[in-house]
Amino acid sequence: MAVIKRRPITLLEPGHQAEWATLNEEKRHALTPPSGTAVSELLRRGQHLSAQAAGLLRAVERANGRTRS
Amino acid sequence: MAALDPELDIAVAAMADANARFVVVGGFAVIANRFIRATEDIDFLVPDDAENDLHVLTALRTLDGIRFRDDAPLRDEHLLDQAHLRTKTSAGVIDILRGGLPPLDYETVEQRAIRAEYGDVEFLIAGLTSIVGFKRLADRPRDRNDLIGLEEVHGALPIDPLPGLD
Repeated sequence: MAVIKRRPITLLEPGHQAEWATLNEEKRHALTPPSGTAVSELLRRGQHLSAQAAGLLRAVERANGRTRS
Repeated sequence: MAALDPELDIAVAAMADANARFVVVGGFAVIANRFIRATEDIDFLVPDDAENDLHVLTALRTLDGIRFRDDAPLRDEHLLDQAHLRTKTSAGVIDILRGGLPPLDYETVEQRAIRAEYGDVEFLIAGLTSIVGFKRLADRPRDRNDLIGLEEVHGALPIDPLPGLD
């Protein structure tokens, strides 16, 4: 009996530009700091992101960045 | 309570505790591949697997996750049979993405992923070839900038043909 493989439900293929545009706009609207945001808050967010990036690079280094294959 | 600052270590720990299969993609994967730039959210690629979806939902609920678009409490149908789920959590905004067509399907991305460790939690991050594929597919200004940055770090980038694109 032939096995019919279901086509994946995904946005990760060409042809979903409209959905992505909506999702990108939603994210931009929610996460872009308003123009009146205090510099201290911008600095706090920037420092937080820098700390996250540094922690991630250390996490990769700890595992030696081994690939699975 | 939902937070705006992404806390990847906390999100990864919750996913691992819930025994969810996932690969970190998006901005944090770009950073892990050594092009350092800002990112506002966390993106996890997950397989097309209903049982795993339930593990992912468990993780998101432990992070007080709610659906981004309407602040609704998370229900199974928000992820099951869906291509995408965006949530607000105590670890920031987390996007759950279903794998695509090869080579951007979950299994291929997982097989090519790099490993990382937060304490005793080991997890996977999309490797360079997969990231290049995602960026070529999305093709936003930020994605094009990521490709330029990654090329400056790594030299000529590995390019896999993508269905419908190449």
